[in-house]
Amino acid sequence: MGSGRSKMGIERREKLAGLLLVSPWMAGFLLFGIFPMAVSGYLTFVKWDFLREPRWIGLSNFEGVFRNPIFYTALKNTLIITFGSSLIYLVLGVVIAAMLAKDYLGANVFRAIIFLPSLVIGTALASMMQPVFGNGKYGLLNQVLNLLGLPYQSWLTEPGQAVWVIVAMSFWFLGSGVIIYLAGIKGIDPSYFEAAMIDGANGLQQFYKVTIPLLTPVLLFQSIMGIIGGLQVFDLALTLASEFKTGGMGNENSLATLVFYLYTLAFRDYNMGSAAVVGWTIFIVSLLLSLVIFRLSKKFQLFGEEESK
Amino acid sequence: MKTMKAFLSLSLIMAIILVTAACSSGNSSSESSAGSGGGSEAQQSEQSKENAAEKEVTIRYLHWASGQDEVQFRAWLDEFENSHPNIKVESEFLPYDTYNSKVKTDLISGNAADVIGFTSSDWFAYTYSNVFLDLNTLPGAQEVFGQLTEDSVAAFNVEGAQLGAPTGVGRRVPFINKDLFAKANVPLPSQTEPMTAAQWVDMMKKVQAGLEGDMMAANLFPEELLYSLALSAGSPVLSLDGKKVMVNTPEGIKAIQAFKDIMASGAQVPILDVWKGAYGNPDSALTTGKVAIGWTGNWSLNAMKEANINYMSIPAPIVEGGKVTQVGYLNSHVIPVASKNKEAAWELVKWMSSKEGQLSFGKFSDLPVNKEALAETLETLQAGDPNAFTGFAAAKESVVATPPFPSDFDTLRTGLQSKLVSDKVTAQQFAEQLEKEGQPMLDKYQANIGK
Repeated sequence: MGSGRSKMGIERREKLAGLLLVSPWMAGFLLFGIFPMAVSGYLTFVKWDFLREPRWIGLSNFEGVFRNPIFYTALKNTLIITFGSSLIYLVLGVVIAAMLAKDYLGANVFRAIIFLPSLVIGTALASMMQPVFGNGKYGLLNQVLNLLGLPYQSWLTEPGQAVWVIVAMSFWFLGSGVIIYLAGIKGIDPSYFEAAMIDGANGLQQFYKVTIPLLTPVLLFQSIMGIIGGLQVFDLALTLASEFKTGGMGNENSLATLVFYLYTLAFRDYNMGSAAVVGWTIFIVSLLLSLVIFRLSKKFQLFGEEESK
Repeated sequence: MKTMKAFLSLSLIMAIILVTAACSSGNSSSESSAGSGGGSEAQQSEQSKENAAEKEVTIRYLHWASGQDEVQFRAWLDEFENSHPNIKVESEFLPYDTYNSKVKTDLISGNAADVIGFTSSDWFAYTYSNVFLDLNTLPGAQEVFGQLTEDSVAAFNVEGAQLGAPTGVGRRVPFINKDLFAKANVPLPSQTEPMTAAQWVDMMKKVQAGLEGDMMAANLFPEELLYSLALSAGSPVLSLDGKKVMVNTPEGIKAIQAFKDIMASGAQVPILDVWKGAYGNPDSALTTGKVAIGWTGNWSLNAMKEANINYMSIPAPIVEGGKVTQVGYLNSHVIPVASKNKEAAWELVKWMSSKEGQLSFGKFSDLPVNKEALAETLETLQAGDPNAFTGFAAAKESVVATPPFPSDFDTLRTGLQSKLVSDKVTAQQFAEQLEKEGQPMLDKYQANIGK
């Protein structure tokens, strides 16, 4: 009896200590996570320009945003960037990581060369790329096309084309993904590869039959991170668009992304209600895409959860 | 509700202050008045003694400016301080790009300067937010505003409330490089008689043909070219209050076609490259030495002189049979309702609107709006530098302020402009689309800033 009470006392004390230890994080999460989300949810139903009191307007903000063609341009561009860049990170990232995984002379130098560009921040990269993708004879890339006898392209100003420039810039950030894949590949037990070699598997077969299946948890993680990153593209688009005096998100909104649109509504038009609607749209799209990936991963993931059962 | 607004505002303010604080530069009167005219020191000291009994007040002043502009604005404020020794002006200047965020943040936080500079289009967004003082309620207002041009006063009047005091009007006209015209063997155009768009196209093509490979005949300001052509056709792009698209008329379409003819003449910098690249921008085009015709105002004169450009201003093109009309940018000063020094702030605004203040203003910035000061300034400028100012005189009586419009309308119009120039839409389709898609944008904007 006595020992039982003392056991309960210890358990309670441990629980209390545990709660105490997580309380700073919980407080931060409530204050900087849940509370802003609740406020943002409230803002979707009000008209607020900072200067006047918020006024309840029901679903008008949703109507305004979802009836605006700019929203669909931004959504389309964002999805192109998300899937385009994710594909680059996944396919090229894994292939390069597999090539860099072998310990040959100078492997570390190649790893550093691949990783270094990803340290450049988005705005700096966009500023560097402006002259490359400039219009007409001002663009370096156009000069190359000209030498090849091809016509000039309006890389950043042609609607439907500008967004692919942002996708192309994803190559610059490939290095950070490669490092994670590399860590994943290095973490695979060499005995799997040895067994595959004994069974007569060549390099390509080892890659498909051993590396990829055992790397699926990393691929899942990277896919979700890639999608979240893609949906949040803003700095590249803003910097590229700032070059053109078109009053907004590039010529004919060619560089509009969801976050850029949110920023424009909130801090250019001071329309916080509509901006909050876009914010929630981004959240819901991220959630849906992540759920789809999780569902797919259950089908394809051959290592991790299944193995642990 | 108020607590929530305060909380939301505070978070935003902290973020924006961090950004804008890094870009701003403050000047106190003590820092920069050291270099002001020594001749007035005795007078100042006398006045100081007279006003010794009065309590000294320090007011805060905010305006957009950078570089030499900032120095000149500060000198202007020093002049005010010299004539009002009991009022000190603490000034803050920011580049225009970051200026409006700073103003909005200050107004939200209730920490705005006592006197704030505004352009008419930026000021418009605050029309019904009750943050600006009705200057008509202040002593001597009728007398002050009676001295200013009627159009400029009306531009800042909302239903009888004078929410801003006009200060100046910025105007641009085409400027030509006379040496490049001579090089191209093209006769100089008239400084007083405007040419039609067709004559312009002809002139530009001749200049282009006579210039060397990497030179361009013109880098004109597309928006102002379109607006002034539409005005000359009597069918402006927007109504003066910015509420209605007006250009979808036969006259307006004629103006749009004239705009297209000039921009697609092959002698103009491509429309999407007007603001960057080797040919500068419309303001700086002539100083590059590679462009024969630019589109700028008196603020570019010093740069052109330093670059040894043999310049000359000419009237903007008009449509066949159209009148000469010029687009202008009205600037003003406001006093926030929350100002704790309204009387002293009003003294500054009154002085800025007076003939004395306006004459000084006209020497370094836009043209004055005080009638007497405007006439005197124009006369002086024209006599001092006829090459620079005669071209402005053609439209002396018909300067129309740029109406306010939302940024999505701006994006729509610029997009249509580039489509027009690349033959993706006709002039008529341009006018129709601008009305069809742009009018709802204007309506929404008006509803958003409205009561």
